[in-house]
Amino acid sequence: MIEPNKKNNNNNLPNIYGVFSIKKEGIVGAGHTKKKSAHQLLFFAEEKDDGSICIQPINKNFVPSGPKSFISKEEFLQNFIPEPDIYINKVYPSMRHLQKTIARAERHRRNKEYYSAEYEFKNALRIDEENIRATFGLGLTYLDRGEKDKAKLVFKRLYNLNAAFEREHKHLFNEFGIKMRKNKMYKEALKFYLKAYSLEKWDEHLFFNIARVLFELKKYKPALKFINKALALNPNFMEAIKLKNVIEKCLQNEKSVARIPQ
Amino acid sequence: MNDRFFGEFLVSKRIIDENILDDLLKEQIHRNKKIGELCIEKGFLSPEDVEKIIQIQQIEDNPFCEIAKRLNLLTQKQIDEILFLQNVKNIHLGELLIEKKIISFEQLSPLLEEYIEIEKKRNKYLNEYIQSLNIKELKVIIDVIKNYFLRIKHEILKPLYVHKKIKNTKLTPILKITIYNEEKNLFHLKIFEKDDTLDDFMKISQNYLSNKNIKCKIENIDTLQGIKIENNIVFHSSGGIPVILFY
Repeated sequence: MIEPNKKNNNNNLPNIYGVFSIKKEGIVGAGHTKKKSAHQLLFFAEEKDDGSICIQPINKNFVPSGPKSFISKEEFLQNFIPEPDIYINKVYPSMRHLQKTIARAERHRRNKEYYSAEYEFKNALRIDEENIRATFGLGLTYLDRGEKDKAKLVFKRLYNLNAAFEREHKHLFNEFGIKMRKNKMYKEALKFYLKAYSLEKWDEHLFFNIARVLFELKKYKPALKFINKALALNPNFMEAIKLKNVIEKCLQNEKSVARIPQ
Repeated sequence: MNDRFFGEFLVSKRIIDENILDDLLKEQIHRNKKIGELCIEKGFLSPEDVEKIIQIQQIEDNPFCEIAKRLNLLTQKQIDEILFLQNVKNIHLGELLIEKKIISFEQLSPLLEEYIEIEKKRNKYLNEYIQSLNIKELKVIIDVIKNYFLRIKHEILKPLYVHKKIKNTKLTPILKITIYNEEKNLFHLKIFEKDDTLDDFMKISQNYLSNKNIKCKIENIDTLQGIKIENNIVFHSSGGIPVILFY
């Protein structure tokens, strides 16, 4: 339950890390069969640097899965009971198994063994259907193979998972967006980037990528707006400078075409 | 990738025999969940909702999710989730082969790659054919058609319904094919040209279908007016036997 090499710097207490349970009471049945019922819910809990506790439900395959939420340490200590046996015997081995499966899938993808990669990513998603890394991996595998219909299924899935836009998945997010653009899935790529923008997960690379897709869609004015945003954050961003030049030329051409009498 | 096709490829490579393929495909059908089942599992629909949608489907042959959305039983977000989960959870033939220890994971990958290469070539030939106005390589087509017949050997039979497009089309069929068993049937076949080799094709198709309790009736239509590849167009014949027209 305690990760030995993780220490809280403020009070020298070990961080909270492991499986905890909470009892929930509910009413089951109706009429004469109506009765109170208590059941145990399992969560994976981890103490963060700011002292808050991040909790995530444990799924039926004994891996943390689904949306994470944060509660105060006081609330956590009042309500949650440690479950070291479940952690050691069930959750830890399952988490290891899942990580290994994803690592194998990613290795296959790097080796361009795309069907084997798909097989392993799917295996991972059968253990944790909300696993972001595996979902991205599966989508990237489809894009590698140029299977747009299947990639769209994954895109829609990722679009609905806010966790896909978290910083820890930034490189996968970027790769997925770029691959969609290269597969000419411009509208999907734009929708994807704009969601990150709306969630304020932006930097100069996101602005550049939005501009790049808008450019492909021949929407030069908004493309210029976003490339300027990228350059405002990083004036030395070389690719952005080059793209800006190209966009400006396209805008000039558009104007000169518009001036030609019909 | 079609599992039945891949299965036939494995049979041709003598990795498995026909009986094993049949058993595996039956198991696959049994294990893979239908969209309705997944919707119940996720709590999106009640069994009564699913039954209602299936009943509507039997009249209009629209996709399950489309009907559910129209009835406000599923949102687009739920549909996206279900389609994704179905894609992830449904087991493929290759996975079954590994699970049953018929082949190892290491053996499967090169077989898949080989199969994909063959399919790519086949599609290339088909596209070349589609794009050309003067078709010479009828043998390539025969090969494609032969493989389509291989596919339906293991196909789950699905009722066919009146296709809306049939009412508006002005194309003339070059060949009419009826494929049916005791219930109803589905078959995808798109291309034809009247030629002496047609007789060969008919022999091949009869041969492939005869052992599967599926009957195939092929009727030539003399007027040949070129070839156009479009969606399969399906309608009920007056006798109640499903008929598929290929243009």
